[in-house]
Amino acid sequence: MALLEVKNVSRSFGGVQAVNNVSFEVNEGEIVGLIGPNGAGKTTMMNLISGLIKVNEGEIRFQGARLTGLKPHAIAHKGIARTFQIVKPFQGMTVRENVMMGALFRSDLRGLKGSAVKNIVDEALELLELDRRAEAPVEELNLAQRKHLELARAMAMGPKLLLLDEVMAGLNLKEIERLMELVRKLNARGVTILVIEHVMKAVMGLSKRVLVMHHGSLIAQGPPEVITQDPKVIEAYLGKRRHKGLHKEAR
Amino acid sequence: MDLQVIINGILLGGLYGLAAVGFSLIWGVMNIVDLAQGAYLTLGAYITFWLFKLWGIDPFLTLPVSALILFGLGFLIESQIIKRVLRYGFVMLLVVTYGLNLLLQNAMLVAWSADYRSVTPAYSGAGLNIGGVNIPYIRLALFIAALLLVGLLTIFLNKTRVGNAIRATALNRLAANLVGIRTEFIYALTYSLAAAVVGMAGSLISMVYTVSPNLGGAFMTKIFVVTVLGGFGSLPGAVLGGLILGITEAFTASYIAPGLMNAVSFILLVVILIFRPQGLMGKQFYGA
Amino acid sequence: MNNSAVARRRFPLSIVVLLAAVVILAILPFYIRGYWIRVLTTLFMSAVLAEALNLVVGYAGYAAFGNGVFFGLGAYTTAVLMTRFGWSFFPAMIASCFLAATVAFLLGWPVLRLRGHYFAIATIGINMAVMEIVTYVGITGGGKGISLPLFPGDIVKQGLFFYYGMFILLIISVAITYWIANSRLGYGLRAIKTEPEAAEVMGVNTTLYKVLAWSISAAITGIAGSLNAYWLTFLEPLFVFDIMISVEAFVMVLLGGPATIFGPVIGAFFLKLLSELIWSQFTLIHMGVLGLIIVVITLFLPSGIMGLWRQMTLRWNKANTARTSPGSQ
Repeated sequence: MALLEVKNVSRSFGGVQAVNNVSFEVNEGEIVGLIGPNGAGKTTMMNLISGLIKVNEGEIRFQGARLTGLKPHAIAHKGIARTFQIVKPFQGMTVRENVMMGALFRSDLRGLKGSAVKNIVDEALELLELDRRAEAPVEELNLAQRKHLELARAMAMGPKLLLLDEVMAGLNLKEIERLMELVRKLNARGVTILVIEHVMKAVMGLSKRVLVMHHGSLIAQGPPEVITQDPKVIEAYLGKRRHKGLHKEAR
Repeated sequence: MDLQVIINGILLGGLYGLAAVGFSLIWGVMNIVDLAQGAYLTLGAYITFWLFKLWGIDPFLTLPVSALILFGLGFLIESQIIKRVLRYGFVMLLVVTYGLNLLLQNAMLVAWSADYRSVTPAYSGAGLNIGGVNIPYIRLALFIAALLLVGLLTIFLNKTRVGNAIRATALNRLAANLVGIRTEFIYALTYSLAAAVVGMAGSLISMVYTVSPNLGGAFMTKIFVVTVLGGFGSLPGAVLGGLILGITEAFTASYIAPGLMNAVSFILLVVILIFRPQGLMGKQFYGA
Repeated sequence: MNNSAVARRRFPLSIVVLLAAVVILAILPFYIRGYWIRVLTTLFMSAVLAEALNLVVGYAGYAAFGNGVFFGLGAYTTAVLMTRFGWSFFPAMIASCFLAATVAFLLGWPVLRLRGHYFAIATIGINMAVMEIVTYVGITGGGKGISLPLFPGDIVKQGLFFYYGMFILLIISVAITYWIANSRLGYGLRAIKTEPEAAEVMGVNTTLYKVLAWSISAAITGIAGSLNAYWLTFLEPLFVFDIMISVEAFVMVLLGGPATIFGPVIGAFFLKLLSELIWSQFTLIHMGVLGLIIVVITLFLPSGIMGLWRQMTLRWNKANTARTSPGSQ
């Protein structure tokens, strides 16, 4: 049984079909990439999984149990964490408090007391290389650090599945490589990862399997080498005229 | 339903609509709930009262004076205070405009006392009588004046360059800035314009209500209801909201109980907010 | 707690100051006259209202501009129960507390879905609607007002009863705020204030938390209203449902510092003492001066007294903090 099963899921806004009859699975331990041109419905897909948007048709299952219809906080309690494309740090808190937010509301821990929370927070801070900034107000972090914070918060939730919504966007090459290394590290700790990415290099380097969305539909899936050669995918990205290197164009 | 009740409601509703237009405009363009509008309305009413009382100027002719003075005051307040508070977010703006309202209201109290005063031009008693329905001339004139003013403002927003700039700023301040609109100026202009409009509403209102420093406070709550009914930022919405509120009030007073008139409109406010926060006509400032 | 919040590092000093303040205020009535006992009682009440409002405005970030409705509801519940049904004060007070909390709990589910201006206006609408209904309904005495039974005992005893009543209520509301600030509820609320979606996907039941915060706020406000009603022995809708009650509390919260434990109390003491000492004689311009103070605060002290303090300490800490970390180039 797959960890996450998305079955014939559709969602429209007004007359626009943002996600159209999409089905896929994510297996335990995988890093799966979800790519597609702007407006393909990737972020909508992520919002559907985390429950911020309601599914019109179809269903989503996690560890065999239905997620569809649950509130986002209940979905979080089941072990799904996510980051946001536009980072959402809790202003007015320190970096440590931000990460603590992840640990505080876990269903397997109750309350603030005890060293359990502290240990989890320390570990997440260290893992994402934020330990030296722990007591700083979150407003002082730069973009790269904020992206790390998003990940640290999510990791403090002790997730089984981590949804990464364009964590690489806006970072420079060096920062991207560093973050890719970290994502692999998280995966090595047993966290299954679904990653939406515009940065082709990152998604191709990270995932063994890639899903491609276009106009709300899933048009292809497979290993990165195969996907980049798929005429449908090339067409979706570049239009019909040109067939040059996908890497260069999309970055 | 009694025709007279409907007519009364409609005539009153026109004034409510005009009173709410400035508030609605500021909310739609600047995303500010301007609690000082009540004081501007009161000031407009006093301007008409004093011009009428001291020099016998016809109340309708005082409208431009009200508009000019309030425009100036609005400009001063926007550029000296509101502009500086914008970056602190809506709670601060709510509080600062309430503070301004207290300050202005108190200033009027000190200057002109709490006495109730009224504007009574010679023609204020007369009226039309059609088939048992009584329509006072002055109420009819106020209604028409209110509609005319809202109409002029609508034309201004839709047909002029500046009006278009205001609407563009309402949609997206950043984008408006990028295409070369001086949004800081647009904010000041919008605020002053809104103050001028509500000041004129106050001038008109002074002809049928007694004028005192508390006049604006009573109207402020009506302005809320009207704006929420019509959807903020929408001028036709404000007029529609005004008419609905006017008719609801007249209906409640005649058929349920006069004492529940305000209760019903406040309950209407909360219910609309809960079930249709975008207003009955939706958020359609750009379609105004 | 993980000694994380900056404020808690100065724990020992602040606890000494706090204990001293409590002791002084507890024995003060034996040294001052009736007038100052009354002033302090009012002051405690304002601080209670500000502290209660702080939970909603400061922590959750919801502009409850009409929170005074619970003050009025508490006052009228006590008045009606004591006058019409012959209840004694304490049961009536507890009933007032429960009624206020229940109303907030029930209204909270639909109304707290509204954000920003909409919520602010909705609470004003609720405040006015309840006032109009109380004015209309016969059992409350309507617009003419209602008289409560007098406090048994002489005027000195009466003064002390309400002084200590309000004082204890203030201590309780500060304790509740302290508890909330250091609990999951407090962290959840602060998260909701800036990023409700992120809070939700991190496992915070945002709707429930907001409703809880509002209900607790309403319960405290309701008790304050109840005590105040018994103290005044005469109520009018226009007085206890005045929007000014909420607005003053708002100013105290902003002046002291929203989302701080003692900020609202400091704000209340500051504003009330200032008002008592300086312009209580000039009743004509009281409102105008308050308006002026509001404008001045928003222009020059937008983060409040505690915020100013915090900024200064942060700047101090910053100088001593290492700067190396990921991504900095």
